[in-house]
Amino acid sequence: MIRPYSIHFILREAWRGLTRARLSSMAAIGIIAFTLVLLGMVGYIFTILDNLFTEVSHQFEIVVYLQDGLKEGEKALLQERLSKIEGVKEVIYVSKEEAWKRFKESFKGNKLALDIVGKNPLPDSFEVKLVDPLKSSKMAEIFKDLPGVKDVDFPLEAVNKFSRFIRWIEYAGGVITLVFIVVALFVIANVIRLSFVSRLRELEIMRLVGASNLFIKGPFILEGVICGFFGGIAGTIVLTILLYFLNTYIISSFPLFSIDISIYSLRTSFILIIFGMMVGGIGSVLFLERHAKG
Amino acid sequence: MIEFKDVTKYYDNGVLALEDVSFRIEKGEFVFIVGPTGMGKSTLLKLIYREETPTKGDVIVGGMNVARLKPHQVAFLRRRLGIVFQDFKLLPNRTVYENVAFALEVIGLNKREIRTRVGRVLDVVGLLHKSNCYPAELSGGEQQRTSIARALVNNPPILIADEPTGNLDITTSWEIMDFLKRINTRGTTIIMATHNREIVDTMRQRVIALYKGRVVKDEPNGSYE
Repeated sequence: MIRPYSIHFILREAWRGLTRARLSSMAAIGIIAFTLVLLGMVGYIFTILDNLFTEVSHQFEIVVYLQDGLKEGEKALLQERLSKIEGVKEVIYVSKEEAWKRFKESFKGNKLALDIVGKNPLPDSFEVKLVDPLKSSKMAEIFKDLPGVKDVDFPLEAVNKFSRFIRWIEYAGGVITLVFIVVALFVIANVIRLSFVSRLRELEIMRLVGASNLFIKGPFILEGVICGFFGGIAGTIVLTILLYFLNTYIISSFPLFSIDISIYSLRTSFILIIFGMMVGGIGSVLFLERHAKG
Repeated sequence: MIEFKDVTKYYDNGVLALEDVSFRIEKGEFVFIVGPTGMGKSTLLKLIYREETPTKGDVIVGGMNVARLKPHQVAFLRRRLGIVFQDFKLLPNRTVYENVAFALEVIGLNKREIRTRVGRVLDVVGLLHKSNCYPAELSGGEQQRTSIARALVNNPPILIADEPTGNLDITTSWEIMDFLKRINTRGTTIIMATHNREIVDTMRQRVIALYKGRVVKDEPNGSYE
């Protein structure tokens, strides 16, 4: 049904609408660009936090204390059983001598403390690292019931606090982005409104001579989509530059974090531009549905 | 061609515009709808091109029950109607040519087809030499002829004219009437609302008179009174 002449007409009218009210079109492009930059930044922060979490959670471990007097064979069997439990990443044996050595190391210079403790009171233990540190308490329950285990210990508070912190930041980022998407939709709808009002006469004639909806609404929707496209391009450029500097800074300041910086790949840019175009299109449809029935 | 069956129209604010209006208009007729301002003339025309729908009764245009058309079908009804208004409704920032071409552009015709058809219709209304003028550079009569050209460019079988001479002086009005008569002779059905007594009395065409929303007279070769 759509003929090349129709496409030409719709494109021309959409472009006319865009260039007639330049200031408001620029505002729309700006707000879409800003929203996309925000979206990209939030995505970037999520990625960093994710990396940070993995990094930090490597240090979380469950310490499984063994009963005294287990034979070497029993210990080996227990280690074997532990490492076969699903969700366990690594099991390291720490003998009581090793533990005592570490203890003395950390209290070096505190003669009093060492004197009070006297001779080695520490049991043999396993340090168990989990795939998902958030499951610590559940896993600890399982370990506790294994034969030969005296007690388990894990940094519950730390794990929980840390994951709560990360989740909170992610929620906040999500909400802020959502708010700006809504704002962008309204700004787009307003641009389309201006364009609509300036074309009232033409629209009246179009209806009277029997123009189809494609011709009446098409240019407005396209106008929104074009705003979104330019907003997407602008946003992607700003975001790429911003992330480049941010990334350089972070890598030079925290060399220990090996952060995956693939967030500003070509694919992401592409997705952001498409997303901008969708916001533009939906913004104009929202306006047309409310004000341009029939 | 056009049939009204017991059509009653109330507006949303409760105002009665038409009451029990029935008539038939055959292909090729020239019909005046007369009556004082505010007696339902424009409403009657709007029911034909479906700017309004009847509260009761049926309006049939070219075999289509207008009230039952779905929104996307309205466009196709209107492509079969040419509509002319008192205020011309021309686009001020487009030339005569562009104004007429606009009606074809928005229904998706290609450039070559548009050029042929617009050229032909501008020749018919005698405005070929003013193709590149803007409406502001034209006289009232020329503006109305441009709007008639726009109404005719799609070759509609029916031309609806709502007070087409209302803004024109008497000489120019006659020029337009001669012109409409010529179009009618070529087979186009014309329905024209007017309160210009002299024109109606001189033309001697069918007259449907409305008073307070009712048809008070419907006679061939009629006069205003």
